[in-house]
Amino acid sequence: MPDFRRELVELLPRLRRFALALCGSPADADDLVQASVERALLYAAQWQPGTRMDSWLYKIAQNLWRDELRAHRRRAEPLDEAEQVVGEDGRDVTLQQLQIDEARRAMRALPDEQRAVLALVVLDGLSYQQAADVIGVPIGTVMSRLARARSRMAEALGGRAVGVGAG
Amino acid sequence: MNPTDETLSAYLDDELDADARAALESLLARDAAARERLQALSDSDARLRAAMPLGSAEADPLAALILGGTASARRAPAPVMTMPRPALRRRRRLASVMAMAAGLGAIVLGQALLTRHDSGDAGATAPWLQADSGWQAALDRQPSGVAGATRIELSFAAADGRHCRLFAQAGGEGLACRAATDTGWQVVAWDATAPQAGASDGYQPAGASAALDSAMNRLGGGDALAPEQERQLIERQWR
Repeated sequence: MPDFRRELVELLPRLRRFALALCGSPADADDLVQASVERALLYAAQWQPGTRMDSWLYKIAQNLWRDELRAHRRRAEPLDEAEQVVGEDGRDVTLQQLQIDEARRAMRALPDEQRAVLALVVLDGLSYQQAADVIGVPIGTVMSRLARARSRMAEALGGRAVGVGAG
Repeated sequence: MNPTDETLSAYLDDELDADARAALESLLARDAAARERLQALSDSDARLRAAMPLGSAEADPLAALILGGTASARRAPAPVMTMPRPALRRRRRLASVMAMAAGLGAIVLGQALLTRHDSGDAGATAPWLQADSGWQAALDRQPSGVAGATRIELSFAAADGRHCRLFAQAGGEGLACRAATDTGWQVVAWDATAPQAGASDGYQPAGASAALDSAMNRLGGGDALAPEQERQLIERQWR
């Protein structure tokens, strides 16, 4: 099944981004990506060629996170690794990096289910129907979660200058 | 009546049906607060996307593991992927900014942005209301990125086969399309509130308006045309 494997590899960057959005921490995201890939290879025969592999893979990741991995999340990590490296030397903290940190913190502050829809629709460009299929909720739920998520993100990021040392 | 965040959010994702979209767009045209809210939601989307970039598939630590490291696997063509809509939009923008930077240099780019920044006079009207058809001529003949009364930001082929160009002039930013059989350009979206400059760094990339984003999403199609493709279309008068 070389085609299956190649397509899976092509999807890795998007799967990683989805996992990071879902988990909040890079360590948890790595675990989730690895577990999702293992499961995808294990159940490769269940994937129908010609259908979207991205939705199928996200569904695997989403279910793994919800049912198995979330309970063991590494809550101890206050910041992700990239943020810590940057934060150690104040002179290297660029405005751009601060804006990135601020956006990631704002996303992490959202409830899990709101992060999932933001990741699928805003970051990944899935339609509401596709996102609803991945998460296993009605389309109206996707719509309302997204609106709440965007509202909170806009509130957290809205129009003000990036506060150095905030959070 | 104020549109709900749910409506604005669905608009950003191109998930409203035609009637709801038209109703919202006419409301946006007369309600500055609603436009501001839409822009705030759209800005925070952009911040989030910038904070969560995609890595590379080849460099992924799991890639070799999945492929089993066989040479034949690496030489085979990449699978056909469906480009997610925001990614397509961003690539289009990037392509246009790159084309501008490569062809014309930073000075012209800077001038164009400056012109745009200074041109926010409230008396300016939408292009199709103007007696002067200079904007039609610019859409016909002007390459992307050249400064002028009308500046073309980028060109692309829509999914329906029409060619479309994103343009900016005094008063706002618009999107115009024409089919090979059309005699002129039809403005398919116009945003009189398109920000003239970003709040944080004074620079706003082409097409940062939420309304135009949504219109570009609906049109579908590919990346921004390369300067050479665009030049040939101008010569053929877009036929």
